[in-house]
Amino acid sequence: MESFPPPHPEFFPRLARLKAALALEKPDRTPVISNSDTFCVNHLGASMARFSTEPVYSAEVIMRSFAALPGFDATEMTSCVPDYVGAILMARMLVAGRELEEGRPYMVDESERLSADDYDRIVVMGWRPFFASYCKEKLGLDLSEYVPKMMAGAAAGAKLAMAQGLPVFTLPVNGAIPLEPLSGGRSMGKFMRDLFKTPDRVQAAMDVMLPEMIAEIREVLAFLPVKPLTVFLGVGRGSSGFLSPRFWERFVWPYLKAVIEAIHAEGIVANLHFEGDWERDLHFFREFPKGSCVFACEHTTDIFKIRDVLGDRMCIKGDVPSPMLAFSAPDEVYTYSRKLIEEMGDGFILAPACTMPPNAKIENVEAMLAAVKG
Amino acid sequence: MSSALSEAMADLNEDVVLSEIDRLLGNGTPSLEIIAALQEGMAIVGKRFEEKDYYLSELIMSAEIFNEAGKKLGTEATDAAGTLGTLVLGTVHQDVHDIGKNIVRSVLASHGVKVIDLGVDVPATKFVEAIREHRPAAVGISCLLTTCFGNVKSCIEEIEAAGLRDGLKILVGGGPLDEAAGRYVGADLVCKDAMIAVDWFKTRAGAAA
Repeated sequence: MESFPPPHPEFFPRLARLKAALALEKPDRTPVISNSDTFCVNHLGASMARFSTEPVYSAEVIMRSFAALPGFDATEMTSCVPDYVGAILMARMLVAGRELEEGRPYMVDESERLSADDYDRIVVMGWRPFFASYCKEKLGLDLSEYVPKMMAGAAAGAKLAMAQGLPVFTLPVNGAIPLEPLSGGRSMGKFMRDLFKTPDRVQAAMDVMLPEMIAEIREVLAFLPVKPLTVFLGVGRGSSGFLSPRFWERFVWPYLKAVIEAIHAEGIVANLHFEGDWERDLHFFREFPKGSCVFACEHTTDIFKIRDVLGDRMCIKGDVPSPMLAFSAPDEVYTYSRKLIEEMGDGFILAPACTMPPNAKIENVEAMLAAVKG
Repeated sequence: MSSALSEAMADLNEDVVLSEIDRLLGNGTPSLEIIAALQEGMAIVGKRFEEKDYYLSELIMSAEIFNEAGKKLGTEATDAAGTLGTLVLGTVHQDVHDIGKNIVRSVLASHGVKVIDLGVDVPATKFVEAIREHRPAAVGISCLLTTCFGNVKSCIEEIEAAGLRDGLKILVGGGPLDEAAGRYVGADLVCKDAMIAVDWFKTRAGAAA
């Protein structure tokens, strides 16, 4: 019989801390986590080109960075897969060693690649066959080759994280709701025009995409040996600031609600990684059961307003701003982090707003880590 | 001036806007008068945006309709309508994000600002050359990446070193670019949305009038 190594002594206390915060119970102290990707490359002087194209290497770099900055209670993700992140937005990612010189962090090429006729093609072909052919033809990405590499990176990262007692906070699967990939592929101006001029055509495509996107989440979850703490739902262009109520309530909310409920049906917390301004529609999220979501904001939505509307319903994660981590003095980071810890309540996880910026100062990361210890 | 055109523009009714332009052109109405009516409609769009009756979706759509209207009226007419002043605009060196910049370009152009768009990944030397050539009232620098904030700062420093800073307003914008970052890079105004830049141009024009 195969014997397993004993768990790292920090693993279960960290896990308990996170679970308490997610359940809006009182943890022994506020947990602190980070979604660190290209920051880790700069932190360790690693190769950005390899990091951006080799998922297993990215996992090794991320975990070495966490090991060199002890104090985090979890890593948000285990590896970095820019091409796939681009693909789920139906966009091509520009990466070091390919389109960009060594050392530069990956960025999205926001060109229009999806045509108005593609809405109809999605309806005819089905979402996943369309997506696979789109990735190959428009993005030069063969999913049958890329997905196994991506899974190898995730597995390597999970193993390394476990060995150093670091829980993995979330599982990314796809583009969360149909609007995100569609608006990414069409480009913003064209997509907005589509919403105004041909809304039924857009909705028909979305209605085909939704059940397939939910099925994909279920399949990935069924494949895993253990349930993740949370499933990542990244939404930016579907924010309240982007869309007027009539569009948001037609093209965002029904789809988001269905995906969140599907995640809940698996007994897992939905990680609402929401970029942009969500203030207008925060009250919609009150309908979900207490402790079934974590609202992760990236500082555009006022975190204290989120607390006022949703603080008694769900955990809130955030939101040390990227510019502060990159350019401010450690005292400012510490003071802001302490303010969050003292004023956000029990269901709170301290984290950078969005990902840790690539140029975050090490002393600022240490100031954030020090803040949870008082 | 056609109030029907202004109203259709304000209500984002593209079909009515385009047919009304055809009708007015058929009547021999001067293009500049038609553009003035469109801009009156755009001013209402801006007001509705500020009052949160409209959101970014409506702002983008209004600029799209204005662009379509501009195709009927010709670039000479739309250029001549740039009465609020000139903006030199670009995404900073080593950043290729263009959606935000393009929204700013369209919205400002539709409110009567002449926009010189330098594109993305624009080195400081290109900003300096464009300022020398076009003598704009303002420069708009877009930046989405915290790793490129240093490039915004050095771009502004190069503009200053070239002796072009006096009387020139430097506007910056982009997702993570907050007030603190604006101070760090040395900008005059951080634009969280395109209408802040429109308001600056309008205030300036009002003060000059």
